[in-house]
Amino acid sequence: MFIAMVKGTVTATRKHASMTGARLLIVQPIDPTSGQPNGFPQIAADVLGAAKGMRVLVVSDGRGVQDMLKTDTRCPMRLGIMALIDSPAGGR
Amino acid sequence: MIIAKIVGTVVATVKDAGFDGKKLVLAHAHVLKDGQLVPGQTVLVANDDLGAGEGEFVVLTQGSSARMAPSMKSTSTDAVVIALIDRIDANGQLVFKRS
Amino acid sequence: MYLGKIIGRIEARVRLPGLETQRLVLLQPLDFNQQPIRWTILAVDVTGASEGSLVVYEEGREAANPFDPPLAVDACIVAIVDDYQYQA
Repeated sequence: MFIAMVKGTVTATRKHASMTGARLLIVQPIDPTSGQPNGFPQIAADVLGAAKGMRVLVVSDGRGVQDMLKTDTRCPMRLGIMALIDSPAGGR
Repeated sequence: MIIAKIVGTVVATVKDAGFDGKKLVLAHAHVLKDGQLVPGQTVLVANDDLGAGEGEFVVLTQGSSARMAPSMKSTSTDAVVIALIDRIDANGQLVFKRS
Repeated sequence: MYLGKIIGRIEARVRLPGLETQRLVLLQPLDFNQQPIRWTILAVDVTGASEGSLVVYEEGREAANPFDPPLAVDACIVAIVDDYQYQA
């Protein structure tokens, strides 16, 4: 799992049926100790209501996303937002 | 997947049982750059069941998806040829055509 | 998942079983300023996107999930982008 900052949203009417009901958020992975961006932004599924500027916990495994969305195993998404982080980066 | 050019074969007598009878090829990754098909940075070893010959361009699947190929269920592979390329078009231009 | 643009297509008559009807497209991965990143890749498509479309694609084992039985594919277009908002 990694920590990321929510940077935006994606709207897509035409998508794989299993993705219906999930919000698609643009998340920028960040280094958990420095809070600095780490790699390219990616798109993650969200059901928790994460919003722009929030720090979130992202799981990088399709099985986890399927459980989160209660979809079958045909769901092709790998990234899912599992938690909204309360503490600042680095747990300080 | 990636576009790769077959640049050789790999022969090994002593191997994991899952690789028995399986052909291994050397595949040079290619990318499209400025409208041209150009060699990439990696050459990797892949399983091939389609009879890809040297010099041929193929579609290569990597990672655990490679084992989804019907013939790879009991092969601990991480790269497999899934198609032989006849033609590539990009940005409305012909980039490659099998001769 | 990642943002990308369909820039071309592949024709291939000889394919592994199961892949016969799949469309193989050439994808340019993009950042959210729509600048090219990484290298071009090939993907299958479950959305019916056309050339020039801005799409969302998934890489890795999950890309095989929409197919039953799963296909030996490691990149799949899963959504067509209508719109997105992004602030770096």
